[in-house]
Amino acid sequence: MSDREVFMTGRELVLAAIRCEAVEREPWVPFVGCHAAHLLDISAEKFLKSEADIVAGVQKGIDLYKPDGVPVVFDLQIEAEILGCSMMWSSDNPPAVASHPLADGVTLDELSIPGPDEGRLKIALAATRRLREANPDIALYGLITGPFTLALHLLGTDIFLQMFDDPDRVQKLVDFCRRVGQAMADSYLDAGVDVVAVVDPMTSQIGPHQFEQFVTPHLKPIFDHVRDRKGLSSLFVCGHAQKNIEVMCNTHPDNISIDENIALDYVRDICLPRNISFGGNLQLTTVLLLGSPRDAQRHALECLKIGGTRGFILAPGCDLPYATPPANIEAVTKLVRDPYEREVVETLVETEAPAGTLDMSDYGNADKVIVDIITLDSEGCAPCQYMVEAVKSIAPQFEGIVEWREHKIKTPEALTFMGAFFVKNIPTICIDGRIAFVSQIPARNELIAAIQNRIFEKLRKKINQHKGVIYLLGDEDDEAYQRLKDNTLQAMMELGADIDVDLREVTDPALFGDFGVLAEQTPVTITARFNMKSAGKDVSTPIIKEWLKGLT
Amino acid sequence: MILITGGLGAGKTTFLNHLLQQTNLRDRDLCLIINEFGQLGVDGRLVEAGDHPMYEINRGSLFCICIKTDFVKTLTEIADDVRPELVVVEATGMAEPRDIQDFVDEPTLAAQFHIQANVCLVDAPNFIRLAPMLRAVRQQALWADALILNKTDLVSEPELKQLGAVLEGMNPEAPRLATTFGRIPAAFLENLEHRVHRGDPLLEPPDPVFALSFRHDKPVDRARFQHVISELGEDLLRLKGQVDFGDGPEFAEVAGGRLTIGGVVATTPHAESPTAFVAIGWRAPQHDFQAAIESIWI
Repeated sequence: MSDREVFMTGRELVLAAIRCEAVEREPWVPFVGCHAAHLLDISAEKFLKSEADIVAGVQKGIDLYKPDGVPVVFDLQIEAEILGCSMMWSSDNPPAVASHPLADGVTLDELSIPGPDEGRLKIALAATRRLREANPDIALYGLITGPFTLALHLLGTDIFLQMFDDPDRVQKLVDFCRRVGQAMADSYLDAGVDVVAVVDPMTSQIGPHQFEQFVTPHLKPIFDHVRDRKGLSSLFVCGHAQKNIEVMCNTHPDNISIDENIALDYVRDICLPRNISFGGNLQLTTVLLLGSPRDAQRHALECLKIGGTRGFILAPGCDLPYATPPANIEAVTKLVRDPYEREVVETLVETEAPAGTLDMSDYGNADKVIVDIITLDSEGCAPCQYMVEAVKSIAPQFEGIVEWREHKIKTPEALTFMGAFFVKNIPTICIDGRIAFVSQIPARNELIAAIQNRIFEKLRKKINQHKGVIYLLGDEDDEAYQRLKDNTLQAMMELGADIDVDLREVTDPALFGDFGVLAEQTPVTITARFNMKSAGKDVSTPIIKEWLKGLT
Repeated sequence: MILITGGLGAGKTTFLNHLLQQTNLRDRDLCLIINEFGQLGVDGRLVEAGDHPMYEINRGSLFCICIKTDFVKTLTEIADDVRPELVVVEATGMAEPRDIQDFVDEPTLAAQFHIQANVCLVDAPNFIRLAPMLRAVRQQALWADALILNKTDLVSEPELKQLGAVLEGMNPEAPRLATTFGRIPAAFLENLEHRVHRGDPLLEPPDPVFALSFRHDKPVDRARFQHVISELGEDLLRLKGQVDFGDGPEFAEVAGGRLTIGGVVATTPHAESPTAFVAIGWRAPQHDFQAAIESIWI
């Protein structure tokens, strides 16, 4: 299936969406942070300390996920580390701040604004420049730590007590962090980012009054500064920040991005009337990490429906977990870019699957070969129509041997087949219950060959199920018996692998009667054919009666 | 699962170490999840896990949705590899019980864990100043199954009584126990009934305790100020800052029901406003409280 035809580049889509302008499709910005390290099979620590790894990992994410935008580095500890916070590193997460200099005797006057050549900022900016050059059509996000969260890194959780005991001290601290934020924004804009994202998760811990007192005076100037630099800005907030959405809007970012703790429609209804775009909020753990690709698509579809086509950017709620299965992110990309895929997922969501499952144990054991085509609807969907046509056109060649049928997933019964056959993509052709062709219309000879293979396979299986025995009854000292035995062995040898027959000798006269044979009739040859009718399951009396009738 | 919440410095680690020495817990098949970054307990000790397996989830001071992945991963590992009878979680000061409940309810964990008790350590000297500023501290107290008022040796009787009244107002169903160094009777946890908290955050009631800041250039009439403070009574929990009664800023504080005026301004003097203070209130509707205090300038 093909991507919908879109004339705007990914970068243009993101910028337009942030500005609340019309877009051809909703932009998709997966927050590939330390997940990029997973794509390279290296630790998050190694990744975040290496310009080369950051470039390679993010580029791999771009190649795999075809995003419209992507953050360069998702690490809220870069500034804190430069300013003297010690770090505790992890193999699958960004580092954690382990000490707070302002709580350990350092004074605010001793701290200076981080420069572009300091600490890991230097690495992040170098990576930004390289990724910018390699990906001119993708929007790049430069993430900076919001002033309140940075203040918490520097002072520790004492900041909350200080907000009562010495609010002016807190104001001075957050103001310093504001200046850090402005400098960081300058560095990232100079390196070529399109969007400066101010990530301030700890603001979700304070209420609107404290937000207006301690955050607004310091956050708004950052966004104003980015605007003056002709850049775009986003405010990322995690946690139960719903009561702060309005005051967050009052800091005048161009965009607000939220996590799964806040309802997307709630944010939409506050942001859009203020001409502020919004983004989010795919669930990180339950869906993207632990769910299936289809789960990811269903959830993304929900978000897209709520978000709408103006001022919305589809994104995870926060930094993707390290070990997120790439297939889940790829599935979201497919949903965003391929209108056919979206239609399939929409249909699956609308159609309820019935209770119960199909018993597949005997499927494919019928005499005929069954070709099942799982479609959206061949009457309304071109790929499905071609798939059905492909089978229809070769069916006459196999008249009497092949039976075909279409299962439209708009019906619950079709969903049962889809689940039973483990079909994930539409349209799909299954032959005797096994997936044979997925999404791609098979060439005529390919389809014929696949069906023929199945026919031959069934024939071989049929022959094997009919096991034969040849009994020789007689006196082993009798010459006539020995000649019969020799001739039988010769015949079996000449037939070779074409038959599967056992030779059994019955030389005890006491057993002749079991075969209805008298001793004077020997040597006697009796042939018998065994047909396995069931194995390991209960069979009802009526069915066994039919088998028995078949023997007479 | 026993969940231990409380702000940083409330004494969770000391409390946990005390619990682990109790025979009814010490000899049980349990493991520990420590979600507070390497913080020393009040008395300078770390968690003394002994033979019990211990898992650390460290994100520093941040409590972000990303931590859900770490929690679920840890709980899955515990369910698959350890299968203890009991998990004791020392949560970070920023954790909300609702979030921990959400982690435990993750479908992939297939209902293998249930929270038996959610115990909140209340930092007696600091709770009233902290609760209006820090959402997690309020939520922890609101939804605790039991409240342990800790460090009570560092507060006066009137302050302790006031704290008790505030907690009673916030969470009347939770039994309260006043203590020092986190020491509780062994049987205290046994009869607790866990109340599950979920629900739409948008439908939460107004915050039970709140803090408002006030600044003004105009001098304040001293008698009027004292009258307003008296009228507010127990609705005013704390006040601190500087007030200009006409002769320049003076230190002003309300604590434990007592108003103190005078002396050198103890905190960073506010350069722009001669009168600048923070007031913490409760019970009264916030706008009424605000109007009452602003009336000092009428």
